[in-house]
Amino acid sequence: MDKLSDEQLREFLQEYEVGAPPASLVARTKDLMRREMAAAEAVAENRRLAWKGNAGLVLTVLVLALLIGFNLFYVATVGTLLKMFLPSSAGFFLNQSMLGISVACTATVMVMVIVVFFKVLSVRPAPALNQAGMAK
Amino acid sequence: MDQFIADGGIEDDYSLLQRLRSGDRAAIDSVVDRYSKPLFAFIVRMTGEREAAEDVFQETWIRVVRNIGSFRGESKFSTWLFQIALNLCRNLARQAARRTYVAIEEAGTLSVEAEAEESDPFKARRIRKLVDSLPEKMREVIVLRFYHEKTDQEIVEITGLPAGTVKSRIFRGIKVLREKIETTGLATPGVEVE
Repeated sequence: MDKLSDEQLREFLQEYEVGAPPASLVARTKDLMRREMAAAEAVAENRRLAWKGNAGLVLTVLVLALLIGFNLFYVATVGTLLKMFLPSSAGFFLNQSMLGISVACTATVMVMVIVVFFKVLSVRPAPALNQAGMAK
Repeated sequence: MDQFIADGGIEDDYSLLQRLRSGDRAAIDSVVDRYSKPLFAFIVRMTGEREAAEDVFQETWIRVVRNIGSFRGESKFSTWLFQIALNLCRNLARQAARRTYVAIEEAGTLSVEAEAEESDPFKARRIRKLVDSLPEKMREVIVLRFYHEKTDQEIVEITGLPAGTVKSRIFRGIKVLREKIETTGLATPGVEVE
């Protein structure tokens, strides 16, 4: 027998045909997909709400990190350079400036901690209201 | 490739997948109806088992919903779909301690709707056995090439294999098929294979 060409082979193999999946399987699959979609939406919504709730906290931490970073940068670089180049008579003012910026940073950090505590961490659910809109 | 490529027309599939991404439940019906037949046929040919094929079919679609956000449209949707299905089929084959081949007599329970339409169901069963007898790695590329008309590039994307490997597997697969067909006389009318 002559060798089968690719086209003959293709035609030959086509005799093994598989039909459409059963309708019940397709319906079941669609149902599962809808449930999966609903679950995914719920997860996304929860994630969005969680982020919204924590956004203030994240922002606060970011600002704190920037302030502390700025303070350390000033002390380590600008402060050190100024100490090298400024006359010794200016040493007093330099020390005061370093102290000043540290105090300012510390004060800001403390204020932020207090704000975070009262605005985020100490939030309690609002009391349930009755039909007249009064707290029970 | 920047532009989104879709099978049934750029706008059609693009808008369909956008709707699916945005959580439109009605898009599920359209996309499943459009691709369920080729997908199911592919899975049946890969697993060779109806129950397993149904499970893989369902799992494939669930993964589509779960990961639709990560589909960037750099390839055809069908390529991505077949890629998911193939990975699941591979996992299934890996999990199976020993692959169970269904006896020819039992093969009638597989995809009965389709086989009932065929002019020579007995021959179809024998061809099915022939395809099933190919090593799994060879069967992947042969099924994609001959039953789903996939190009070499699409097969590369679906299987995740290098282009050279795909070509050599197709070449060897065709050779094996030809040898088996010729030795069994399966292509000759009226001649039955053992």
